[in-house]
Amino acid sequence: MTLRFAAFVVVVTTLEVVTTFGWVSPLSVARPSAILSRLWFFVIDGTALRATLVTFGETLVAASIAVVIGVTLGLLLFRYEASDRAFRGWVAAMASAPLVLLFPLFLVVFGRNYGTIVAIGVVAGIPPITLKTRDGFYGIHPVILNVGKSFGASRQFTFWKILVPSAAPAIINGIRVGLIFTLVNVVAVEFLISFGGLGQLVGDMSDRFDMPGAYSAIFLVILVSAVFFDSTERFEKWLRPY
Amino acid sequence: MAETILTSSGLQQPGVGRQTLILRACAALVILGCWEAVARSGLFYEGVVPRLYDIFRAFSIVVSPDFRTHFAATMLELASSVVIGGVMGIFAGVILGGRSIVADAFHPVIYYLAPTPKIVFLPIFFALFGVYLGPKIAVGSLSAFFPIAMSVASGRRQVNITYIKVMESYGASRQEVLIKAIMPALVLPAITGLRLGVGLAIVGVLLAETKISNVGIGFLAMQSYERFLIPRLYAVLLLTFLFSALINAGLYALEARYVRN
Repeated sequence: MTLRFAAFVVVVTTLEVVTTFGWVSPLSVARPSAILSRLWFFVIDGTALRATLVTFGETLVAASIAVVIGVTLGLLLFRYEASDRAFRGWVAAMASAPLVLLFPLFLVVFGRNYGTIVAIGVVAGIPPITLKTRDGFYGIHPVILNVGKSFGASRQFTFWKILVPSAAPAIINGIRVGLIFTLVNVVAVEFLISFGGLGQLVGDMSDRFDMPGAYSAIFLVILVSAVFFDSTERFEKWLRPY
Repeated sequence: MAETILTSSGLQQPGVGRQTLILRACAALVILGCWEAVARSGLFYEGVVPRLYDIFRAFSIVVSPDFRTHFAATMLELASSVVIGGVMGIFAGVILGGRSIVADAFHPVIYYLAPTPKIVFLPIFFALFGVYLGPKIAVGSLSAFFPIAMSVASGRRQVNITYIKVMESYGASRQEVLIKAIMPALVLPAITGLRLGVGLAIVGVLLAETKISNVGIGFLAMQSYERFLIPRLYAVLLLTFLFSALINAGLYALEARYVRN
């Protein structure tokens, strides 16, 4: 912690000195004091909160749709083995494909609005949720299912009392990964189409050559991503104490 | 001999390979059929969902000299990104994976910076490197850096300390320990990280081209969108996905070959 803080202080002080004396152009590297001042301004006038809420709203809507579709698809892949053998590879290929590059297509279909951003978030979130849900159900030990059958459990009972609780840790992990994918893609598309929340703020500041504003907006994006990542990790650990 | 497969219940069923192929073919036909139906239905503004034949014709862009120029520019940016991001990632990974105060101090920084969308750094790189290849290579390098660094760091932490202590007890220098014990153990994690890093570098480079560029596949896609050449846009994006899948498959094969050997 001390070394990290000391390194941070050294870097910030060096940047402040080189930019104040003009050794580095302020158009390239903004002064840390100017960045801090701009960031404070964003907080005071509500820009930071507004942008964060818009981004989170888009992420929440996209993730909710992705969860419903992803969990359903994962369940279908488990329920019908033939479909799992046929389509699991397709879903895995989608998970590693650069789906965010589809944003021009969604721009054409939905226009430059929240629809494009949410659509990209949904498309990015579905593959990891589907794969983790499928893996969660397939990872259930057959002994647990056989014990249920030996006690005469009905299909409904088996599903709700054995399958879902057993697969829940993997499903929750998949939802967490899907949430992160969704947030990252939402912010990226906001930046690219200059519409929305945090991503648009970064684009707006850089378009105006307001470098302290651009740096502070980028810092805000990093902060929100890190907090979101850490929060979802802690929430998952809290849900899975064992 | 008929193909068999182990199901989740442990039973083997003959002839499943053919069933899989039939299912995939049927699914592809249904998807393409629905696409063509939507394209001809008039539900969307003309050209928004082009007909399959128009998209197929648009693939002729591959043979145009312009496409070769754009493809070469993207390849140059991608190769540079992977080399720069890879070298820096391996170097950082070896340091972060060691049991040192530096590793403990900076590992959380890398861990929490990794999920940030790297495209938002484009304005900074644009200010630092100008408008030509620089910002695109920088975004691609940054995208590739994190998965490689984290994978190599993880591999470094798993190197058995006993091997190092035995070498040190025989009087090996730090350089010899690094070259003979640590680096060979990091080849597989580096390949795994590279596989993830190349995929992210492709995304980073292409997204940067869509925002700030006058050359490259990403620029070609945005140009197609802006001129409402939608079939060409679909063709360019499908070619991009195909290219990404081929690179991924190649790196998977390299990883599998290394594991087998």
